[in-house]
Amino acid sequence: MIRCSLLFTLLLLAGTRVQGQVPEALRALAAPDSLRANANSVVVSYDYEYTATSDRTALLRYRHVVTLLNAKDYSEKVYDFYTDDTKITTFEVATYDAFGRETFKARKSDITDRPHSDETSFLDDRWVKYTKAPCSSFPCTIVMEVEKKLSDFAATTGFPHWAPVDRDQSLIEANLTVHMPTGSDLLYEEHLVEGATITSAGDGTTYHWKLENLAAQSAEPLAPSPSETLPYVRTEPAAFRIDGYAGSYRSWQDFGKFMASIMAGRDELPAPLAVEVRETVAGAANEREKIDLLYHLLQERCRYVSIQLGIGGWQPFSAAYVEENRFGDCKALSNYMGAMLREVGIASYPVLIRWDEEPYYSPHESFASSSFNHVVLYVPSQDMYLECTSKYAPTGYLGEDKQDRNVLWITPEGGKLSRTPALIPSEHGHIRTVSLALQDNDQVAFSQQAEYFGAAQELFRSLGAHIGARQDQLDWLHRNAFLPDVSGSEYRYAVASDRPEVSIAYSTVLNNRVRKLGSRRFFSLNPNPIDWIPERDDDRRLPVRYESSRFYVDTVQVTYPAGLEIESGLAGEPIEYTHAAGEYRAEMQVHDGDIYWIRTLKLKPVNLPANEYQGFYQFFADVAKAEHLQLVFRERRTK
Amino acid sequence: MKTVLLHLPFLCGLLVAPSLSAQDRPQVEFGRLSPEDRALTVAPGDSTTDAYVLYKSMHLDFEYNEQDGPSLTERYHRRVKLLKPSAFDEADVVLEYDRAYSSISEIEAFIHLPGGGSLPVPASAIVEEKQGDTDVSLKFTFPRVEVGAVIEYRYLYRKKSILIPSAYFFQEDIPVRWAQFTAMIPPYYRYITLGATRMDVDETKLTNRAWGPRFNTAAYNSGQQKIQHGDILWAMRDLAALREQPYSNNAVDYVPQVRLQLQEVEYPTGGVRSIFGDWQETVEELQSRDDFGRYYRNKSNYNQLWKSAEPVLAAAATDREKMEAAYAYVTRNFRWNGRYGMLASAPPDRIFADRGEGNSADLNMALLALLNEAGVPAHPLLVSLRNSGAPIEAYPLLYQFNHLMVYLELDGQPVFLDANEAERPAGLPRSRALNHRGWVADKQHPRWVNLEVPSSRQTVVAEMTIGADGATTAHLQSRMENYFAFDARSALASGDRSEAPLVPDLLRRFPELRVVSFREVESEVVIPARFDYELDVELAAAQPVNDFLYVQPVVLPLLDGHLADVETRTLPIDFPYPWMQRYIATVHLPEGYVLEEAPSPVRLRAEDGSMVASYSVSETVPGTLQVIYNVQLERTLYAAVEYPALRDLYRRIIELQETPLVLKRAK
Repeated sequence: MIRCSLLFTLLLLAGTRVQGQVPEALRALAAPDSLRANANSVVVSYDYEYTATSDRTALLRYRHVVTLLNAKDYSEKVYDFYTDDTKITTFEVATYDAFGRETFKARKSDITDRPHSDETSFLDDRWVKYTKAPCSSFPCTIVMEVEKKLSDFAATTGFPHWAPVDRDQSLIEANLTVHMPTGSDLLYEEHLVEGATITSAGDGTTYHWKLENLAAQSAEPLAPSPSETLPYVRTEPAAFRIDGYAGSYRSWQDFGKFMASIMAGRDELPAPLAVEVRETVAGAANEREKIDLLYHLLQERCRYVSIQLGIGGWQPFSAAYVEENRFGDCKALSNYMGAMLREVGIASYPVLIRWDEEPYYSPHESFASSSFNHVVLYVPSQDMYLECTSKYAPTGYLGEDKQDRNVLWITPEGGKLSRTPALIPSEHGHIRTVSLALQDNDQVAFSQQAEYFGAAQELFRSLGAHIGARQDQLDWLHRNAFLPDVSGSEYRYAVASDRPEVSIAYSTVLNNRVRKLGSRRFFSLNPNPIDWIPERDDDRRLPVRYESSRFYVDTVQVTYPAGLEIESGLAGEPIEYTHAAGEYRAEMQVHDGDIYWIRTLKLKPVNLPANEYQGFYQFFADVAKAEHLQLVFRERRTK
Repeated sequence: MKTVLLHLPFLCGLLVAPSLSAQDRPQVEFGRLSPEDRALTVAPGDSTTDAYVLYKSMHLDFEYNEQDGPSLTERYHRRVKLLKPSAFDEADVVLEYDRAYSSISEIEAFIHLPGGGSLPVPASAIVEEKQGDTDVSLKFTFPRVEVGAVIEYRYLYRKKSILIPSAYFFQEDIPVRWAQFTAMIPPYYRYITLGATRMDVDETKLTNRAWGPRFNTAAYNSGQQKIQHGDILWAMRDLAALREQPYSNNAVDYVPQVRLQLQEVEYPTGGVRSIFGDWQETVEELQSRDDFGRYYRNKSNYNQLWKSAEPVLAAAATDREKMEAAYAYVTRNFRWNGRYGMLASAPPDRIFADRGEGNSADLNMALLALLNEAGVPAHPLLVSLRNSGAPIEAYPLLYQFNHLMVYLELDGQPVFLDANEAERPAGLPRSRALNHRGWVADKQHPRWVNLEVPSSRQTVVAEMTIGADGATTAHLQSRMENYFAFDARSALASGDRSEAPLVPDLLRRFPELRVVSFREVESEVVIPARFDYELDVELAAAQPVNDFLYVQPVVLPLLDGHLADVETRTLPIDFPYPWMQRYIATVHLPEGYVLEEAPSPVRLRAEDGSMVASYSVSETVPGTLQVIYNVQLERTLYAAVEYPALRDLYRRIIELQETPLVLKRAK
């Protein structure tokens, strides 16, 4: 009732705009409670219209009206991207307050164009047009209207991937319309959306999708990608043309053929390099060794520089260009490496991949589309992936954020969807030994030897690759809680070039680890607790997606002066916890007066239904508690 | 701080400065590398660095044309040895300038390969990117980069204004073998230099050189005369890599540098034209500017704003109420656009009519206008934000200021206003502005003042009930004042349970913590600088072992350990504001347990009394303990030499807050 009264008042205040229908700036407030529950914002309307005017040109219009119910998801900047083959003809932004009054309308002077910087590209032709949409109070409605003319690369990659609603957001109405000219087919994939309405007229075919009245889905930690639980429509043209190259999305094979066509002829090695390549592998005993030698040649010779201009977003620089400059992006370096392998008779394929912790869309057989952002190389004879942008990865090491996902091999026969290997916990983790020697003066001699392997070593390998100076490395390790201080007497950092292993050794004397209380000394046994606990969530709605795959072994040896004895803290029985997401075991032993604590923790990827979240939480809470062990010493009593 | 006066008497003084002999100085020719440098594999004195600056220089010079008058040229030259792949980012070069008043040209770049030979970067590989309306980036990357290669480039940077040449920094985050600043300064321009860097080479002499403008000082115009220029060479060698340190402020001040500012112009045909004289002249000049004094003193610039705010201000009786009302009006009706400034971008009326969005000076200029119109005398207060350099009081250098606030006095006490967030009460500037000193641009009495704000306080009263299994329920009541109150209000506004006030600090120590409830305690009288709050949590504050129960009574640490992590510091420790925190816990013990051991009462005090901590445990009634723990920091700035004492005090306080109580099961 209260809400109705408020709405009535608002409608009165909104004046003439009320007549006939509720103004769009007030529609979110007039919506049923179910559309405001759990929502930080409401998509009042999202009308997205894409008109393909030929196989290389298109017109895009959209109008997006969102009412922010609070400031949680408010981002002041409203923007859109474009490239050299895009012309933005309309860019209008306005905001409205809770009474439906216009509080802001972007003028030309409010709108800024800047090169888009994604921090990885050195040269890029992407631009961003943006303005600030001020909301000084909430609810606040932002209306954005854009029209763009697209051609070539922008027109092909611009086909809608329409996901009109996000988590913590409800939706009143959204429409997607795609017009295809006569003779051009549209391919599409629908998810949680009613089937398209298709109408044909003289000039082509129109596809239309509509969504209405969707309640908000709360964002929750460790949830699957929104694409798995929220509606979307993805579209691609059956046929397209970019800079004179014709292509098709009818199948992965067809799209792969197109990719092969724009890469063709770019793998000719300059003659001196061809000679050097052959000389490099001359003494190799087998193919594996040849690959290893050439991969190291690539790493020594070239570096990664990202240059993404036009079709250069998909088409690599030639091997000759890379050889001349000794740099290239992922496509160029993969192409260069592939050319070197070909020179010694080893076949390889470029591979399109999504390099992300969790891809938004997972490529699958039934719909060919390009949601990739990276290229690696695959050597079929060795079933081996090569990450060609890395100057420091061991041969055949792909990287955690590229594993266990569908990728597209660009084979001589065309594209072929495949899957990169999943992680096996025992191959990723660490074996770490810490020695803690309590001194009479309550200082602690600390010595740690850690061997990180598999995915767990990536961070530490990257450390050496980006931070060269010893003291800077120590600062970083300490800042990120891998070392207890920065003033140690010994620090050794070693990276294995031929396998995914990094070892770090460190020794120091700690002044502040023993808490003295009368005759007692309190001492935390485990200096490196693994105590991550998922957020509490008593009302879990979404399934749990846990991705970690690790095996950690930690051993802590504690020695203490003869003048002290243990009052408490020694555990008699091993502590064990088991769950689908992991296995934990810790035990304590005493040998010759020294204390040994040995713990193994295996973490396993798991998908769980929402109702099993509590058990998942409890496993990690138990582990965290077990990781924080305290030993209590007291001065030895003389008899 | 020293003054470089290119007049003979001063020059003589400078010439006696200690200097390296000529043969010690590097002979560097662009594009040519010595065999020794080509073969170099490690930086002397820093065997682990990934890159080493072999040479870098800036040469400052002047140009003149009849149409535009004098202009500046700065020629830069940089030569860097790449010792590890982690330094290859050095080879991706981005040069930026604003084409409205500057340009970059004559870029040349070479890479010298360790195996021999040098390659140029072709001009076609230098890409120009527009970054905005007038901002431009020039980008290039070196080919054939490898370990042992030396990259080298130079370019010419032109600036239309001769007022402030670019600052030149000798030291970097990688070691530098040789860095030099040279200049040829016509005698008409008198610059001061800021900073007290002691150079390895410090030479200034007079050199004859032709330079316009032409002055007819004789009966006949004899053409362009050669005139004596100030010819400067300042250089430093073997500079170690810079390191960051926590709790630092204005670290840039400690980097050896040259910063010049034009003080006077004196052409032969005229008298001395002072660019800046003293603070009095400066304030008069500022007050006569449209975008400074006139915007808040001339009513035509703020009439509409005043009309709108007048009813609110009219209701206020006292100066303090007027101040509060004006501050509240501006914070509610204006929005900060994220930019700082010491000059307004438009008159207050225009900003007000145009959505109220402006830079920091715009908002505070509107506040100045309202206060003065309401009869509360207020003045602009100019500051240099934290980490943009310590204030320079000896010379009236305006470029050091990047933020404008409001200064007034109430009951004889200074009040600093900095309008932006409505939740931040009057009298508390944003903490970034607390850079110790500020300059009051009072036309009658310009002066420097200490930027002192009231101490921020937090009192937490915890009622804890501990079970025999260690499980603890805790009810925390807290009162926060000043910055603590502002921070807490902001945290509460996020609405996120894990970000609620006090919760992140508790979670760091008790990751299994369960937040039962939290709420602001609203009082009948709203005091903006105060925030009362209640929080209920469940946590494991005790650990049962055999017959013992070890209780952590301080669930909310008052200090973190970052300041005590290192043994020595080179930079001062600089906190933005003073603070005091109190933690009082009533701990109800589980049935059957008695207190066996607790820390003795202790009071720790810094030698000068600027930091004080106390801790005590007492059993108020059987089965109930009271823990009182206080920490107070009164000083905000400590010299690096004071660090060891402060560090030890920190460590002892942290030990106190982490030491458990020992309970034992009664027999």
